[in-house]
Amino acid sequence: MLTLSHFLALAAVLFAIGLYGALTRRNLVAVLISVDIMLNAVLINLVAFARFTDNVQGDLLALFVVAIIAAKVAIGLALFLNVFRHNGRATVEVLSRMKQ
Amino acid sequence: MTPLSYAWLIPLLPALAFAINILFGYRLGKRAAWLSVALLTLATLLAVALLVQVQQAAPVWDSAGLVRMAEVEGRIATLQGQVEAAARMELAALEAELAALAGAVLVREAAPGFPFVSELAWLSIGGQEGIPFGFLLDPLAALLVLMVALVSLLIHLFSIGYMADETRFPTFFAYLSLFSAAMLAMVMSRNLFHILLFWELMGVMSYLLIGFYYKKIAAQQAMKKAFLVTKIADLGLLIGIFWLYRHFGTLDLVRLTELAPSLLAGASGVATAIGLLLFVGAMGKSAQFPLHVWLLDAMEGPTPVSAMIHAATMVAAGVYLIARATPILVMGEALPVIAWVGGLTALLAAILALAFADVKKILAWSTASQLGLMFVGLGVFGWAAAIFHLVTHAFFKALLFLASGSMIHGSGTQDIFEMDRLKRAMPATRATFIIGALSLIGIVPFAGFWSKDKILLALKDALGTGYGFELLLVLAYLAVFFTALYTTRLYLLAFEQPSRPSPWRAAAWHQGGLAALNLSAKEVERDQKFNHSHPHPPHESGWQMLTPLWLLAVGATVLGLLGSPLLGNPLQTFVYYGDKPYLAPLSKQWLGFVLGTVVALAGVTVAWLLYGTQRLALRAPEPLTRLLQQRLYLDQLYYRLLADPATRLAQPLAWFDLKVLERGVTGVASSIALLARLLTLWQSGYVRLYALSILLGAVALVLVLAILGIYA
Repeated sequence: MLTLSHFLALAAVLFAIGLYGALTRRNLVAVLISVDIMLNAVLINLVAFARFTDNVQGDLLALFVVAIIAAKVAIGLALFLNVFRHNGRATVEVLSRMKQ
Repeated sequence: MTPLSYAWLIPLLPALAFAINILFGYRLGKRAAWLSVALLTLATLLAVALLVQVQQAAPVWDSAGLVRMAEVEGRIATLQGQVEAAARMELAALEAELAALAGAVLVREAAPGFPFVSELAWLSIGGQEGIPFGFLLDPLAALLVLMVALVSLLIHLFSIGYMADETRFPTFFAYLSLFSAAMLAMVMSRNLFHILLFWELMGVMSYLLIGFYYKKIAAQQAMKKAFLVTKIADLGLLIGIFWLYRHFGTLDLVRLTELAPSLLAGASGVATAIGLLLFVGAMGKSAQFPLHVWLLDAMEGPTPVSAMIHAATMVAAGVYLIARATPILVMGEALPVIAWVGGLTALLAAILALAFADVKKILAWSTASQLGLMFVGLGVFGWAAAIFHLVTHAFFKALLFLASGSMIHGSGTQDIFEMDRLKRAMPATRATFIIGALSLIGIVPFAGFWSKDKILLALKDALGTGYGFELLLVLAYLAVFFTALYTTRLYLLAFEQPSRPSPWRAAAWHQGGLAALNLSAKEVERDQKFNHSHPHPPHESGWQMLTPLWLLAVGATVLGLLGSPLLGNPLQTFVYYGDKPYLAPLSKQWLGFVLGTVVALAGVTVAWLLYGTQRLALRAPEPLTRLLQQRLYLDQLYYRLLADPATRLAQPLAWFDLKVLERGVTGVASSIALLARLLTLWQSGYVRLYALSILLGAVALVLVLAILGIYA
C-alpha cells in the first residue's frame, strides 16, 4: 500500500538529485535538466497532496506549472543556443561575465 | 496716490541690481555698474517723490511764530517767582501772547493718513499677531531715504572710475547695491525687528566689502574685526529688543511711541536699561568709544566702501536707531550717558586723528568724532539738530572720502607726507576737497557750520540740568578746535607741502592695528606687496570720478541753508521730535555762531603755523605720540583680555573636534565602505555560487524556524 510518505520521499530524493546536478554540472543544458528534475519533484508533491486530500487545486496548479516549464525550456534553450554561438561553448562560467 | 504704492520699490530696485549682478555680472562686465547706477537712479527719483509727498502731507509750522514762542517761554521762566508788580504785569501779558501764539503757529494741519504706514502680516501663526512687516514713512524716514539713495548713487558713480581695473568689478557693484538696499529698507521699516534684520544685513555687506581685497591679511583681519565688534554690540541691541518685546508685547515703532509714556511711567529703571542696551548696539554700528576699534581697520576696503560706510550707510544706522528709540529713552536716564559717550568720542577721535598719516584713517577718526557730536545732540534733546548733522555729514564726509580716493588714485599713496603738492596737478579734487573740509571744520556758509552749531546750541540749552553738561560743552568746543586742526593739517600736508619721508613709515604697519597679531616677518612682507604704495607724480582723475565730487560739493555747500535761520529753519519744522518743533531765538544763536567760528579759525590758524609756515615747531613728546598711534592701546587690551582667552578656550575644543568627533564620523563611514567591499566579493557572477547561497539560506531559514519552534 502506497502512502503519502512514499510520494514525499520520492519527491525529496528527486529534488536532492536535481539540486546536486544544478550545483555541479557545468553544461548549461545539464543545469536546465537538473532544474527540471527539481521542478518535477515539486509537481509530484503537488499531485500527491491533491490525491490524498481530495482537493483538485493541487492538480490544477501542477498543470499550470507544466505549461510554464514548457515555456521556460523554450526560452532557456534559445538563450543557450545564442550563448553557444557567441562563445563556442555553453557552460556556466561563460555566463559569469554578465556581472561586468 | 499715496507714497505707499511705490515706496516698496525704493529698497527693492537696488536689491534687484544685486540679484542680477551677482548672477549674471560677469556676463555683463562693465555694464554691471551701469545697471546698478540705473536702478539706483530710479530709486532716487522715487525717493524724491516720497519726500515731496511726505512734505505735502506733513504739518506746516510758522517758524517766526515758533521762534517768538521760544523767546516768550524763556522770558516767562525768568519772570516766574518774582513778586514785583511790573514783573507780574509783564508775565500776564506774555502768557496771553503765548496762548495766542500757540493757536497760530500751526499753519496747516497734517493731512489724514500722515505719517504713512502700512502693515503686512508676517510670522503670524494660529491667529497671533506675530511680527507684522510694514513701512513707516514719516519726515525722518523720507529725509534719510533720499539722503541714502542720493549719496549711494554718487558713490556708485565714483566707483565706476575708481574700481575700473578690478577683476571682481561686477561683484563689487552687487555688494554695494545690496548695502544701499539694506540701509534704505532699514530706515523705512516700522518694526524694530525688521530694523534689526536689515541692520544685520548691513553688517554682512560691510564684512564682505571691507574684505573685498581678501588676499590681503590686513583686509581679512579687518573684515573679521568689524564683524565681530559690531556683533558683540548687536548682542546688547538684541537683548534690548527682547526686553522691549517682553515689556510692551510689540516691536512696532508706532505703537511703541504711543505706549511708551504710559507703560514706562513708573519704570524709569527699565527704560534706562533698555535705552542703554539699544545704545550699545548703536555704539558698535556708529563706532563710539570704546567700540570704535573696527572703524580704522575698515579702511582696508576700497575707498568707495569707506565713503559708503562712513556717509550713507552703516554708521548712520546707529544714530537713526537712537533717534527712533527716543520715546523710550526720554522715560529713563540713558540720554545723558549717550551725550557723554558721544562727547568723549568726539574729542578723543579728533585728537587721535592728529597722530595718523594715512589720509583715510584721518577721515575715519573724523567720522567717529562727528558721530559723537550727533550723539551729543540726541542726548541733550537736540533731536532735529542731530538728524540735520547726520544729513549734512553724509554729504561732506562722502565728498571728503571720494576726494581722498581721487587723491590716492592720482598720487599712488595714502600717506599724506608722501603726497607731493597735489594742488598743482589736481585742481578739481583740491577745490572739492576744500569745500568738504570747510564744511567739516564749520565755516560759514558751508553745511557743517549750520548743523554743528545746532547741536552746540541744544547742548547750551541743556546746561544746568545736573549732568555736568558744562564740562561736556567745553569738550565739544575742544572737539571743534581739534577737528579744524586735523582737517587743515591733512589739507596742508597733502595739497600744499612737497613730499617728504613720512615720519611714521616705520610705524605704518603698527597703525594697521595688526601689531597685536604677532604675524611673522614673512607674512608682513607678503602683505606689504598688496599695499600699492608707490608714489608717482600726481595726475587729475577722470570725469567719472570728478562728477560725483562736484555734485557732493554742491550738497555740502547748500544743504546747510535748509536748516539755517536765514531761510526760517525749514528742516527743523519738517523733522522734529515731540508735538511741535522747537526753534531757538536768534538772539541765542549769535553767540554760538561767533564762538564756533572763532574756535574753528583758531584750529585752522594753529594748523597753519604748525604745518603751513612751520614757524611753530611743536613736537608732541614721544610717549604721547606713541600712545595715540597705538590708539590708546585699546586694540592690544581687547586682544589680551578677550581674544587670547577665547583662543586658549578654543584649543581643547578644536582638539576634541578633530581627534574625537572627526575620527568618529569618518570611522563610521570607512567601516561601512570596508563591509561593502567584502560583500562585492560575493557577487562573483557564478550562477552556482548564487544557487548554493540560496540553498544554504533556505537550510538556515528552516533551522532557525525549527529552533524557534514554529513547526513544533
